[in-house]
Amino acid sequence: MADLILQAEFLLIPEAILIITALVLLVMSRLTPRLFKDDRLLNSLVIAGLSFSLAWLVLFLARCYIGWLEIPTGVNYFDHHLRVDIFSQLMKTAFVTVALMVALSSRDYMAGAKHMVEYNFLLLSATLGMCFVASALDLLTLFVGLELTSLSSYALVAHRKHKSASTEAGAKYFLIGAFSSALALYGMSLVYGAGNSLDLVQLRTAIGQLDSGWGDTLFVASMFLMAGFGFKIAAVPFHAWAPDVYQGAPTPVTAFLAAGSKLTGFIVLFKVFAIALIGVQSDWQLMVAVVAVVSMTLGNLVAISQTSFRRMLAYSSIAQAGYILIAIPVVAAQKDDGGFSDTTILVLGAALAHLIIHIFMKGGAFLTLSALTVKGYSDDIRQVKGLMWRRPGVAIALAVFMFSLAGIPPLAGFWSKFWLFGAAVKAGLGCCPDWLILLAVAGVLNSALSLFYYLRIVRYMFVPDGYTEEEGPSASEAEDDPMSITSSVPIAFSAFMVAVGLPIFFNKFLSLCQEAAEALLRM
Amino acid sequence: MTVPVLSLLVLVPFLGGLITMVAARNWPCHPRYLALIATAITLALSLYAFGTVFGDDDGEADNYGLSLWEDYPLLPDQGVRIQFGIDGLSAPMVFLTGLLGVLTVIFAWDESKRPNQFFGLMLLLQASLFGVFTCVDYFVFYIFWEAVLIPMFFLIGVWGGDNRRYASIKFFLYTFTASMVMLVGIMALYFQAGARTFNMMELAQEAPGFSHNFQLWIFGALFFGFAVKVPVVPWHTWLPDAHVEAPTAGSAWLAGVMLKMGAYGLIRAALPMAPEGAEAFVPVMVILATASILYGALLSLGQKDLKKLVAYASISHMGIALLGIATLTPLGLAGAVFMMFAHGIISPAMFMIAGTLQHRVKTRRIPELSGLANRMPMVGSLWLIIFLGSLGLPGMAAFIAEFTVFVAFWESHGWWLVIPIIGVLFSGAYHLWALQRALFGPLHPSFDEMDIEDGSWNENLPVAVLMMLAVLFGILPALVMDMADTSMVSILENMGVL
Repeated sequence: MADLILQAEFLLIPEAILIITALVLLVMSRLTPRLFKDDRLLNSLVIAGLSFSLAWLVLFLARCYIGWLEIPTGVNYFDHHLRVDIFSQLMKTAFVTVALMVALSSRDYMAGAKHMVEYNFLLLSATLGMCFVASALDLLTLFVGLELTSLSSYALVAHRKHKSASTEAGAKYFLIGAFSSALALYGMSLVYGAGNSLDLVQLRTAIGQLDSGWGDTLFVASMFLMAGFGFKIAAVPFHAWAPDVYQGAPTPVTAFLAAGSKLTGFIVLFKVFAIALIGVQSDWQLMVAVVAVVSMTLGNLVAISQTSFRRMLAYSSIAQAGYILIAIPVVAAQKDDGGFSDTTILVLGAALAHLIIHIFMKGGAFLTLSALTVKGYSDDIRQVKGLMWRRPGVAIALAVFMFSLAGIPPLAGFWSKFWLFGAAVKAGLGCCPDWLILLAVAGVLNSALSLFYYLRIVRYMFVPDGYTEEEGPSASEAEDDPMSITSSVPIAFSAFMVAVGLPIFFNKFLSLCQEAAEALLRM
Repeated sequence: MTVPVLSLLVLVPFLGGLITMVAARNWPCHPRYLALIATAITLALSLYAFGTVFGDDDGEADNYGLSLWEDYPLLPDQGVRIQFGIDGLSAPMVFLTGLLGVLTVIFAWDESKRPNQFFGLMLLLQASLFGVFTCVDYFVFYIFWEAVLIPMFFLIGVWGGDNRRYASIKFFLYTFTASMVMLVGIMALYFQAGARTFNMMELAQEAPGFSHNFQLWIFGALFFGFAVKVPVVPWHTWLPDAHVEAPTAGSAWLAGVMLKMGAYGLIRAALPMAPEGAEAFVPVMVILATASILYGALLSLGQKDLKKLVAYASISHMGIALLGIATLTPLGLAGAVFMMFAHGIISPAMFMIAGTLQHRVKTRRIPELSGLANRMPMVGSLWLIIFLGSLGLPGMAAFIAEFTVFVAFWESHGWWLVIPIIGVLFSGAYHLWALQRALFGPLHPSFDEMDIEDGSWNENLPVAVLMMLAVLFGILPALVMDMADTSMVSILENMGVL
C-alpha cells in the first residue's frame, strides 16, 4: 500500500479523488434527487472525499520526510505541465486541510440552505484549482488553475443569493477578479513575447539571457502581473474587494478565501517572480517592496477603526499579505548566477511556513466566527464581550489566534515571522541593497501597531460579567448550548496547531518548508 | 544524574499554573493551596540555585562561567538551543522571583474573584520570569521576554482598578513595541555573526569583529528595547498606569521583578554584544539615568495616590541602577545589580502596604490617610520601616546600592555626581513627607466612624519577611555583592573594558 503511493502513476491520486467526489456528487444528485436532498449526507460525502485525499497526501509527505522516498527532482506529468514534488504536495496538503476544515464548519453554518449540491461541488472544484496551481509548471496551467479556483469562489461568495450582502460581495468579487485576471493575462502575454515560452523554467533561462532592450517590456509585464495577482492576495492597492467580500460571504467561505485563496495567490507570485522573472529582478524588486510596506501599514491602520469583526480580520489579512510579500524582494536580492543562496531558501521557507500557519490562525479565527454566528452572535466585535466566561474554550482559541496573528511568542505566528523578517535583515546585512533591512523594520513596527486591534478583541473577551463599559450590542440573546462536534473540531485543531503543535515541532516544520522552497526554486 | 534545577524552575510554576487554571476548576480544594505548594517548591529550587552560585567562588571555566548549565536543542539547524545557566547576575533575580512567588500568593490569599485564573496567571508569570533570568539563548530569551506580557496583561485587564482597560493595553503596547525594535537588533546580531548560534556568550565573542557603526546601531536597538522596560524617562509613562491599576499582587510582580528585566537585559544581553556601542552610549545613559532619578523623585513629591508615589519612586530608583550601568566599572555594575535586588525587595513591600490600606480603609489618597499610626499599629510600623529603607537608611539594602553606585559614578565621572545625588535629597523628602501626612498627625475625620482593623496575617507576613530581608542584606551585602562583583568583572573583561 505504502509503496503504491510513491509510484508515479499514483502521485496524482489526491486530485483524482477530488474530481471523482465532485462528479459523484453532481451525477448522483441528478440520479437520486430525493436522497441528496439531505445536506448532511452531501456534507459527509465531501468530508469523506477530502479526508481520503488528505490521508494520501499526508502519507506521501511522511514517506518523503522520513527519507524512504527519493524524489529529489520530482515527477513531471502531461508533457511538462504538472509537477509533483515535495513543494506541490506540501501545498496540496495545506489546501485540502483548509477545504476539510471549511467543509466541517459548513455542516452547521449552511444547514437548511438551498443548492447544497452546488455549494459542495464548488468547494471541491476550487480546491482542485488550487492543487493545479501548486503543481503547475507553465504560465497557462497556472492561469487555468487560478481561474478554476476564482470562478468557483465567486459563486461560493454569492451563494446565499437571497441576501443582498452576499450577492453584492459576489458581484464585486467577480468584477474586480475578472479585471485582474485580464491584467495578469496581458502581463503573461508580454512575458511570452519576450521569452518565447510559457514554461517557467525555460522562461527563467530565456529571460536571464535577454538584452537590455527588453527591459521596458518586462517592467510593464511585471507591473501587470503584480496588479493581477496582487488582487488574489489582497495587497494594497488591489485590496478594496477584501473587506466587503469577507463580510458578505458565508463565513466558512470567507475562511476558505482568507486561508486557501491567499496561499494560492502567493504560490502564483512565487512561481512568476521568483522563477520566471528572476532574471530581471531589478525591474520589480523595489515595486514589490513598496507594495509590501504599504499593504502592511494600510491594513493595520484601517483595521484599528473597524467595528465589524470580519472587516477587521479582512484588513488584518491585507497586513499579513504585506508581511509575506517581503519574501519576494528578498528572494530577488539573493539571486546570484547559477545557484540560490541560503537566504533565498531561508526566506522562501519562512514565507511558506508563515502561509501555512496563517491558514490555521486566520482560517481558525474565521471558523470560530462561523461557529459563533450559528449560535446567534452577530458580526460586531463587541459581541465577544465576556466570551471567556460564557464559552471558555472558544474564547481561549480565539485569543490564541489573535496573539498568534500579532506575532507574540510562543505561538506559531511568531516563529515564522521571526525567520521571515530575519531573512530580510540577513539580506540587508549581506551583499544586497541595504534597504531590505528596512522591510524588516517596517514589519516589526507594524506588528506592534497591529497589536492594538488584536488586543482589543482579547480584552473584550475577558471583560467580566455584567460589566458594561461601553454602549454596544450585547450578546445576551445568543445561545450558550454546546457547539456541535463538526464546528468545534476545526477550531480546536487550528488552536492546537498554533499553540502547541507547530511551535514544538517547528524545527521539523521549518526544514520541511525549506525543502519545499528548495524544490520550488530548483524545478 | 543531576537534577535539572533551572528547567524545573520554569516547569513547576508553568505546570502548576496550567493545573490551577484548567484542571483544578472543579476540585474541592481552593486554588490558593495549589499555588502555595507550587511556589514553595520553586522557592526551594531558587534558593538552591542561589546557594550554588554563592558557594561557587572560583567560577567554572567551562559553560561560559555559568553554574547549573543545561542545554537542549530547539531549532538545531538554526542554532537555537534552550540553554539555561545562572551566575552572579541572574542568581539574585532568580531568588527574588522565587521569593515573590510565595509572598504574593500569601498576600492574595483571600482573592475571591476567579481565584483559579488569578493564581494560575501568577504562576505562569513566574515561569516566564524564571525563563528570562536563566536563559542565555537570545531566541528563547526573547520568547520568555514576550511571554511575560500575556499573564500580566490579563492580571491588569481583569483584576485591575477602574482604568484597567487603558492601563493594560498601554502596558502591552509600550513594551511590545520596544521589544520589537530589540528583535531587529537580535536578528542583525545573529546574522552578522554568521547565523550559527543565538548563544549570548558566543555572540559576545564575535563582538570585536563588528564594525563601529554596526555596534552603534545594535546597541541603540537593544538599549531602546531594554530602556522602555526599565523604564527610563521619557519612555516611563506606561509604568504609573500599569502599577496603579494592577491588583496589588500584580504591582508587586511589576515593581519587584519585571522592572528588573530591563536592567538585567542591558547588562546580560546588550553591553557584551557591542562594547564600542556601549561606550558611545555612556553619555546618553548618564543623561537618561539622571533625568529618571530627578524627574521620578520630583513627580513622587507631587503625588497624592500612595501607589503612584511608589511607582514614580521606582522610576527614580531604577534610574540609579542605570547610572551604575553607565559607569561601565565593576563597582558600578555590581551596585546596579544590588540596586535591582534591593528595590526588588523593598518596592513590593511598599505596594503591599498600599494594597492593605486600599483593602482596610478603602482609599490610597495620602491626604485622606492621616493619623493611621494609632489605629493600625502593625501596618504603620512596617510602613515606617519600609519607607525608611526605601529612602536609603544606612543598615538597609537600598543604602548599600545607592552608595556603591554613587561612589562608582564619582570615580568614573567626577563632579557630575552632584546632579544625580540631588535625587537622594528629593527621595528623603517625598518619603518622609508622605509618612508625615499619611501615617502621623491627627486622625482624618472620615475615619472617626469607621471601624478600622489592622492588617491581617496574610497582609502583614509578606511585608514583614521583605522588611527583614531588607535589613539582612543591608547588614550583610556581601551575600549578593560578592557574586555580582565576580560576574560583572568577567563581563567587563570579556568586553575589553577592564
